[in-house]
Amino acid sequence: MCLAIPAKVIAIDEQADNATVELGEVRKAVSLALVEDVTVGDFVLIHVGYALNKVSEEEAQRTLELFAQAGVTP
Amino acid sequence: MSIEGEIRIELQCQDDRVNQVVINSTRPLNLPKIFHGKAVDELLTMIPMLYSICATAQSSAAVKACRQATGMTTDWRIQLLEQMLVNVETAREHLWRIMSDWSSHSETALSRDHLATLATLMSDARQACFQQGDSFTLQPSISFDAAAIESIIQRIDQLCHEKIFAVSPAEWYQLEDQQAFNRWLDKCDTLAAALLRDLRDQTQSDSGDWGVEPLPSLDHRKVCRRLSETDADDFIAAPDWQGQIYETGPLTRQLSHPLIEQLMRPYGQGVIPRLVARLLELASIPAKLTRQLSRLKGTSDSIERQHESELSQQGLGEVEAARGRLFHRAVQQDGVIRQYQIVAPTEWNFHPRGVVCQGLKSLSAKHQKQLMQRAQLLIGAVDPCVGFQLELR
Repeated sequence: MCLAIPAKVIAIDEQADNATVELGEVRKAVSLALVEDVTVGDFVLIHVGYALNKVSEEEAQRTLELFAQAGVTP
Repeated sequence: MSIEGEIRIELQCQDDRVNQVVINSTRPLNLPKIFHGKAVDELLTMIPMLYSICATAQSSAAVKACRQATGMTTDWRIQLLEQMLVNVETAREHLWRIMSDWSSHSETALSRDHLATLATLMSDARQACFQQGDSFTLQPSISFDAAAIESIIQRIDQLCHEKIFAVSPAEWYQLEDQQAFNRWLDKCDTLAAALLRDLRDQTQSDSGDWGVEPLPSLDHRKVCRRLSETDADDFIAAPDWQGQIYETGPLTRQLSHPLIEQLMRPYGQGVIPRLVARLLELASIPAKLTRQLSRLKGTSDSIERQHESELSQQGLGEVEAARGRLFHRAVQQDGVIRQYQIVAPTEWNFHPRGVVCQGLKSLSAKHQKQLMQRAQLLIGAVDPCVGFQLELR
């Protein structure tokens, strides 16, 4: 099954309805078509180019720690 | 960002026909080993965090496996409420993919209101079914709000009506022959109708029998035995059953619907029957949820059901998720997980000789660009959720 990764929003392009997210040293553009009220600094779950929903920073960190424990990191 | 991994699909072509398909996966299938040594309760907390796509189906399979492994009994109403949440998730997943992926074929713009409805659907449904906030724990309390569940069903029904079918989902589910289906296609301008009309009006070459059978019912004891063998990781990465490759997903679940039977005559196991099967499954969900809610409200007797105890200290949870059948196997001792494994539908469908491979082999096109488009459409019709890289050689 598919995994979604939490990443921090560092920039938003409102016209294109997408955001730049950051995870570790990796930056990536994702669509914001499926999620509302995202602002810079928010954490979102991303999957196949889409931000799916917002998560708290605490939840994002806990999830990333779990991935790291499993040896999967960006 | 490669945590989620991806599937690499290479099409080896000659004269714009596909000769060979090579499928490799970098999906992190060993992730469940993280649960080894964890308490059962902790595992149940971690599952939806790690597997946040289809988190409800994942949690449902996990809690079934863990209850069975720990010999716990469960009230039938808990099981029914959990199944209802899986059904809501399936509706949400189908709606989400249709509204996001199929929108390029329609002039109907994606509405923020509709997306907002979807975004809160699962959390509202969980709250309605388990008001104490203890869904998918080993022993949740029975605390559902029937009126709130009814409201969830109405939201799904309304969204399906407005954005997908232009008639009620129950009415659409009654389309039983191809002529009625074509009449609906010709008069309707929703996202779903627009895409299917485009496909019908194009000459598609991706029809035919791909030679992959639907995954049959599997004996849980035999699945557990297979997963306890030394090469279980190979099975998880590329599952077969007694040497046979199978498919699992909306098409295999809707094979007995008369419309699918009719559409498979001209289109085989191609894109159109697959997309229609997803729509039929979506259309069936509001009525299914309504029946389940009636059962919940119909009796107050508490009936406990004892799980089979033949699988000592191990349990197998099986769930029909939006993408197909999902298995979780748990082995525990004194409440601590000793072994945990997940067999996901993606691995059946993207097996190196599986349904995606066979479907892609049936493709031909006038030029490479068209071949790529058809291949992408076909892969998305089998599983719209998996990230993949497609290469032509």
